[in-house]
Parts: sequence; C-alpha cells; structure tokens
Amino acid sequence: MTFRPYLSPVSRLLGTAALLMAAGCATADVAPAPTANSPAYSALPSLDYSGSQAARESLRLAIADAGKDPARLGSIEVRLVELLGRRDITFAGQQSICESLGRLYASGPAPSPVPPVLIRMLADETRVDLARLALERAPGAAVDDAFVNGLGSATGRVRIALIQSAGNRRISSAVPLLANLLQDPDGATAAAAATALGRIGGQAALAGLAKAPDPSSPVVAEARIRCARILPAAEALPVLTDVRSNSAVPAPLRVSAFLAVLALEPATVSDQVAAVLAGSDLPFKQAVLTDLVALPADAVIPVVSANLKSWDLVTQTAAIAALGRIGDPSALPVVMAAAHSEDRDLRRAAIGALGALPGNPEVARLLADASAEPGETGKLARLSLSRLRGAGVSESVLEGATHMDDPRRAVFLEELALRNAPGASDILLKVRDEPSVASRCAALDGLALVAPADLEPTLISWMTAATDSTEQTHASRAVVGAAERNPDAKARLKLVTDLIDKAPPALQRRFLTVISRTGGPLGADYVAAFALRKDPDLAQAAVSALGQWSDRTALAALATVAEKTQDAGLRKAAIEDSIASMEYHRGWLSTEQKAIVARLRVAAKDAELTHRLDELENPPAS
Amino acid sequence: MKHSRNPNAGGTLGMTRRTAIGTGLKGILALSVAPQYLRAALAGPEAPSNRLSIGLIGNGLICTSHYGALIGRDDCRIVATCDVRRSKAEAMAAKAEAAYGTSGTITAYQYHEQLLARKDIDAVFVCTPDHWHVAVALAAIKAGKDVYCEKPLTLCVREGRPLVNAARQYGRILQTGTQQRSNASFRKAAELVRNGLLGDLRVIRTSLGEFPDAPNLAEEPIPSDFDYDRWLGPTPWRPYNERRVRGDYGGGWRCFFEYGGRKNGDWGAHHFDIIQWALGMDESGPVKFIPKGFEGTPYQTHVYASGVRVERVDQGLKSMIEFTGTKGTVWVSRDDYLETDPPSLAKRPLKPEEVHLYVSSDHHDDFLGAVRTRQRTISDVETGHRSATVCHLSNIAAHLGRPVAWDPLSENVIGDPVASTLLERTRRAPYGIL
Repeated sequence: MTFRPYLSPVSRLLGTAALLMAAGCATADVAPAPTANSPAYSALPSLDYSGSQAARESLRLAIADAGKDPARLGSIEVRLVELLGRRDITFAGQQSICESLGRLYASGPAPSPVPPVLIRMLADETRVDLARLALERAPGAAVDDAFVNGLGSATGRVRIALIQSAGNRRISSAVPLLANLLQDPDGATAAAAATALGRIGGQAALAGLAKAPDPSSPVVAEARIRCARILPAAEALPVLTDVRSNSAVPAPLRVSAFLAVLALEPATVSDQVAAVLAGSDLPFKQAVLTDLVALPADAVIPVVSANLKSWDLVTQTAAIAALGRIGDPSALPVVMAAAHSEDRDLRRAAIGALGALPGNPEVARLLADASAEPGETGKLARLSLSRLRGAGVSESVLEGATHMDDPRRAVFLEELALRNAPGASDILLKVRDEPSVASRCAALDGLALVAPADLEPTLISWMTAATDSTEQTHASRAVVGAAERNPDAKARLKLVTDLIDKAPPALQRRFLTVISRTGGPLGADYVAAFALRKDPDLAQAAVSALGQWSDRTALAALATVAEKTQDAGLRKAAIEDSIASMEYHRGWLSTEQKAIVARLRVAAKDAELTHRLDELENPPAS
Repeated sequence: MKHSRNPNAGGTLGMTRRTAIGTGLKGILALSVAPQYLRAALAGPEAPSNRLSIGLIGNGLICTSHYGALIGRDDCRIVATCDVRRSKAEAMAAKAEAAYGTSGTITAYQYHEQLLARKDIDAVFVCTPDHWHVAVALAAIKAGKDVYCEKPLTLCVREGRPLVNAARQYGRILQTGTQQRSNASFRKAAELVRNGLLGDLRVIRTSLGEFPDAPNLAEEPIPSDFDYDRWLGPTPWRPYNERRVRGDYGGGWRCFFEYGGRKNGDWGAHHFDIIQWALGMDESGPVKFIPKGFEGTPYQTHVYASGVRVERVDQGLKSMIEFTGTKGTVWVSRDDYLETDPPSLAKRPLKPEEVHLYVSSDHHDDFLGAVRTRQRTISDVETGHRSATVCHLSNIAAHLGRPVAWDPLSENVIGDPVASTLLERTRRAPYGIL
C-alpha cells in the first residue's frame, strides 16, 4: 500500500498552513482519531440506509452554508477525502461522500493529483460507480488520465463504467483504447466503446470507428452520424451519405443521416423533399413530413405546391397540415385548392390550415360554406373562420351577417360573436324581429358570447316572449351569458330571481336551470330554499340545479339541503352531488371544502356515502 | 357543478371520452385546429388492420390510466407491455387481452429493448418512474417509434436537450404527458394571459402540495420476478425495499429525489407547464429561482425576465393556478374550473388578430393524430423539456438554499458552479451515455 499525502486543489491554491492542518495530511486507509470539534458529518463513515441520515443532511447543510466560498468548500472537500479513506466506512457513507465530492470537484479547481482512494475505487467493481460520482464531472487532465489509465487494465463491469465516463467526459486521449475495444468479443463492451466514440465525436473518433468489424451495426452507425454532426460539411457529408445509402443499417438511422444531410445542404432541400415524398419509403416519408415545419418555408412551399397532386392522399393530407403550421401566406393557393378536394381528410386538413393562414374574403366564403355542413367538417370550418385574419375578411363577415338573403347568414351572425367583432351585440339584437327562427337562434347564440350585462333585461324579455321552445333555450343561454358578464353578483342574480319569484311552478323549474348556469354562492342559497319547499317537483329541480352548478360555489348550499331536508332521497342526492364535485379534487380540498365534508358526514346516514366522504381527503390520483 | 372525473373532459365543445366512444372517434378528432386523420398508411407497412400498434413501457399506476384511455379506441391497439417487474407486464397484457377478447396477441416483456426491437410497433407510452423517462424515450426514438412520455419529461436539466435533439434528428413525434394543455379551461386562462387581457401580470400563484419525507429504508428481499438493478438503472445503488419502488401518488418512489423531483417535479410539471404556456415561454424559461424564505419571500418563487413572479403557495389558494394582473385575475383548475375577475373575461371570444393557442381537446387524440399527420404535438418535446427545467431548477435552489440565476437562452446557471453541477447526474454503469 502506498501512502501519499493528498492536498485538495483548493488547499494548494490557498497554500495556508492552517488548512493543511485541517486537512490532516490525510492518508488513505488510515482512520484518523475523531476530534472534539469534528463537523457533524464526520459520522458519515457509519451511515447506513435505514438509520438516521443526520450526517448526510449535515453535510448538505455544510455545503449550502459554505455557499460559493472556495476556502470553506475546500475545507469540506479535504475532510471528505479523509473520511473516504477510513477502513471502517460503510458503502452508504462512501456513496454519500462521493456524491458531495462530485459537486465540489465539478465546481472548483481540478483535483490534481486525483486522491489515491478514488483511484483505487475506480478499479473496484463494487465501488467504481461511487468513484465516478466523485470524478466524472470534475475538470482537468489529471482526472482524464485517471479514467484512461484505469481503462487500460480494466475488465468486465469496471471497464464498461470507465468507457462510459470516457465518453461522457469526451476524453480524446481515450480514442485509441476505445477503438481497440470495438473488436472486443464482449458485445456490451464493444457497443459501449462505439457509443463513447460517438459521444467524443470529431475526426479522430470517426477514424477510430473504422476499426469496428461491422460498420452497419446500429451502435456504430449511430456513432458515425454523431461524429459527423460536429464536423465541417465537407467532411460530414460523405459519412452521412454512406450511412444513408447502406441498406444494412436500420431505417431510423438512415433517416437520421438523411435529415442531417438536409441540414447541411439547404440548396438541395427542395429536390430531396420532393423525391422522398414522391417515393414509397415510409420511414423517410414520415421523417420528412415531420421535418417540413422546420425546413425553410421558401423551399417547402414551392415543392408542395408543384407536386401535391402527384402524391398519395395521405402524404397530401400531412403536407397540407404542415403548411398550416408553417403559416406562410404563399401557401394559400395550394391550401385553397386542397380545400375543394373530394377527399374528406385532405379537405379537412385544408380547412384547418386555412384558419392559420392570412386569408381574404374568398377564404371567408369558403369557410362559411363549409361551416354550414353538418358534422365535424362544419365545426372545424367555424373554428377556422373565427380565427381567420386578412384583408377584407372582417368586412365580408359583417356584410354576410347583415344581408338577410345571404345563404351563409346564420354562420356569419354567429361568427360576428365568435370573432368578437365591434358592434356585434347591436347587430345581433336587431335580428329579434326577423321571421326566421334559425336566424334568431343564431343571433342568440352570438349574444350568449358577447352580450354585455346591461342587455340582460332585454334578453330576459326575449326569452319570456319566445314561443318556440328551441328559441327559448337559445335565449336562456344568452341571458346566462349576459348575466355572467355582470361584475355585480347581486345585480346579476336579481333579474332572474325576480322572474322566478313571479313565475308559475312549471316555469320556476325551468328558470332554476338558468341560475345554475350563472353560478355563484348567492344564487345557490336562493335555489337551496326551493329545495326545502314542500313541492317535491320543485325541490327535486332545485337539487338538480345545484348539482349542475357551473362552479364550485354550491357546495355549502348542498350541505344545507342535506342537513335540513326531510326527504331521504333528496338528502342522498345532495350528498352525492357534493361528493361528485369534490371527488376529482381528492387531496386538493380547501379549508372550506373540508368543513363541508365534515358537515356532510354528519348528515349522511349511509355507510357507503360516509366511506366516499372519507375517501375525499385521500391523496389525489393525477 | 359539472361533474367529471375525466381530466380531459369538456374540451372546446364539451366532448368527453364517453361521448367519443358513443359517437365514434371522428367526433373529437375534428375539434382540433390541426386536423387529425384516421388513415394509417403512414403508420408503417406492418401495422395490422390499419391501426396504430402501441407498446406500454412501465406498467404501474399511471400506465393504468393510459390503458383505460387506449383500450376503448378503435384507431389503435395495445400489442405489447413491458415492465422490469415481469408479473406487472404480464398482468397488464392479460387485462388487455381480456378487454379485446383475444388470446396470445399481446406480448409481455421485461426489458424495453425487447419491445422496441419489434418492427410492427408504431408508438410507445413511457410510463416508468422519472429516472427512466429519457433513456427509454431516446431508445424508442432511435428505434423509429413515436413517443408519449409521462411528465416530468426528464430527471435533470441536462437530459432534456439530447432528447429534443434526438426527436428532431430522427423525425419522430413526442408528446409529453402534461395533459392539462388539452383542457379548455387551462387553454382559456393561458389565452387571457397571453393576450394581455389581465393587464400587466403581477404575480402567478400555484399550489403543488407536499410529499412526506423520503423514508430511510432497510433492505428487503427482492421479489423473484423483479429486476431491481434495472429498476434502479442510472441512479445510485440503494437497497431494495418495497416502499422505495412502490407506485403511489401520495408517496412511494415519488418521495425520493433519486427517482423524481418530488412535488416540484410531480405537480410542477403540470402547473409550471401551464404558466410557461401562458407566458409564451415554451422555448425559454425563468431567469431566477428563489427558495422559500429567501429575498423576503415566504414562498418558493421563480422570476421571468419580464419581472413576472411565480409563487408556490401550497395552502389557501382557491384554484390550482391563479394569474393576477393589473386589470384582472383568473383562477383555473382541473375539472374545467375557470373563474375570472372581471367575470366578463371568462367567455370573452378572441379577436382574429389576438393570439389563439393550439387547440387540443384530448391529449391522446392529439398524440395519435400527430403520429398520423406527422405534426408536432401540443406538448412537444421542447416544451416538455423547458417545463421540466423549471421544476429541476426550483429543486436545485431549494437544495442549495440560495437563489439561482439562470440563462434560458444558453441553458446555463449564471455564476454558481455548484448549482451548475446539479444540472446533471452521473449515471450508474451500464446505464450510461445518453
């Protein structure tokens, strides 16, 4: 055993006698006597995994307390190396020290020489990973040498660990050793060496990879691509082209080589993209379609425009979707043409893309026509139209909304609101007197989105006067929409409650639903009072309304109903609605919600409900 | 109250999974701005029956949730399962076979390399604990698979860039499992912020909750069907104990920094992600991370270059995230909870010239649609990496007990070498080079 004094790089830099004394000129494998003023982490040598972790925490705090002070950090480092050399140190203790040393070394001057105890650990199968925790991110040639020297004589798991470190540290002096290991009979060793060479990169590593017995093996091909990526284009291109054209190399790697070529040869992007998309090599087509959004728009859009119809429909569809993502106005003609396709998927891709491109009145009309179609195409078109920008678009929407004979009128009326157009409410209100129920309903849908709070009385009047049940429903939504925009919660509620108070029971039940959509605790209390009335239908409607409350402010009202109702069915419904509301937020219950859970527990006279209430406070499932 | 236990319920037009099953998949596909298609010709020549073939890697708790979402779909098929605890993979495979009414069509593997070697698999779901996310996702990308990877995308900051690069360099799709982005309320909240409708943002507050301390665990016998060394993978060796490896939303491996980011990683990956989205920081991030109790703040805080502060307030918030500006406040949570002050903001339609964020009403639809159309997902790899970075740097500042300055452009810590070392972790052999 060789004993050699170890001086921390920091202590050498500082060169203070005091620090040398603190370091104790620690020698490996010699257990120093504990001193009365040893830091708390001096107990690290006896650390285990199941007992107290106080020493570990003490070390963390000591490092945190030292902040960025190199002297204090150096002092800790010296002490840790000393502790690491003790014969009686546990595995957990070594691990904890090495983790901390890693942090200190990586942030300070390079350890040179590398502490002997760590050199020995690098050769030990059970401790090599601990030494790597300390050394792998430490800077300096001395550490590089420690890894390379160890690699020269290592075998088995130690060797793989050192190969890994050589790669992660990008140690160029390890290239010859790694290149030789490419021919090692142990496959894991050879693969690790190839991966490390790829990580090191550059011309030397690339040359080293030539020693691999099978250049088409996935790890070697990947390493070659990796090396090439950091070379100048002239040196990289032959390598990448070679990998791409080697049919023995797995497709994903050939694809990767091809994409690297595209990045290096921007002048050829158009031709290469066109060739791949016209071909039948699916992995290449997938990758190119994925990459379209990242390629230069002035290379991609002409290719798509010129060749789209010659491609299969699936490729056309993906390419059109990509043009939407790119968002360049020059894509508009080809996307418009695709929007007239008879193929449903291609057409939908184009309709979606149009919403992302700068448009014009012609696009607006096309989208409006598509909006009138039933099903998903119509929904997608409405969404795109609501986002459509461009010269003359807003004007054409307004014009369409105000011309009664425009076949697209219902769409444009709704779009006035969806686009939050100036003056939309005034235009939409005027539709009330028109004969078409469809137009009136479309206007009400728009008003639900944009009507200001002061229109609430007008809309209530529209709702109560409506004779068509569909129109009544649309009007009630508009009332709710306007009420929701009223910042005064009491005023928001009062118009509706006044209406309910004067209405016959049948209408009261209907209007309770309106309140449920406006939400808020005041409305909930108002509705709860109906739940406690003697009219069972009204009570049922009230509990149902509370169960459908648009926000979480009805919980207290539901608890009140559960506490006071004499009807067991209503009680159960109120508790179940409360649970359902809170169930999604298990573990996230606020103080108020926990109080409500406590109230519901008292009210519940059912074991299953009690159990479900208990479960509410369990941690959530994310 | 609108009751729904489905995190993706109530999208743009209120479509839910149940609705989708009832009306067919096409119903929800077309709700997205980027149209998504059922054709599978791009899925690969070996894809059976024109369906995407799916492999599930990591068959624990969160995988059960994905299983539930995938098993009812007719546009994809689970064809393989994989777990280092073999019995879990076998149980998941048997469950899927029973659901499909088949036998012998789903193979259970113990190692992801075996599953990824299958050429018929189009996409994989990476549902392992956090410390395996990047290694498995990278391997999948290099095997030509598209990837849905659970959140947080990474275990440490330096794992992120190689994953982003790989996805781009191999032309693969990656969806991060930050499914809150596919919820209409979170999107609405983000759009209100992004368009300045709350005025100048002052503070954003969020609640992440707390895990119990990581327990000190004695060694227990390793179950015979469990490759524990593989489970540990690149992390430092620790003795086996069932409580260490347990999948448990309230604890288990999530309590240990070795395998995850505790609450900053677990819930921060969701809420910090929404905040990044709202601030338009998907390719950037904060510039400073302040631990609880420093610089006069009682809360863990991070600060953006704009001056916007994000505070982790674990008690007393009425929603998961609260954005407060000079003109208003928005409160937003799961279950489609959105409240605004003034209330008129909540349903205010956006003008065409305002910022419209990417619309997804279902995270799985978005991923599977992207696999077919080859477009980037709503939670693309870059955004997943950037959001995870916020989580990790919050932990680093807390661990060191000092504020940490960050340059989101170069992705480096500024002026703190010790903090810089915590951006990465040494990987135990042979689970080494990324």
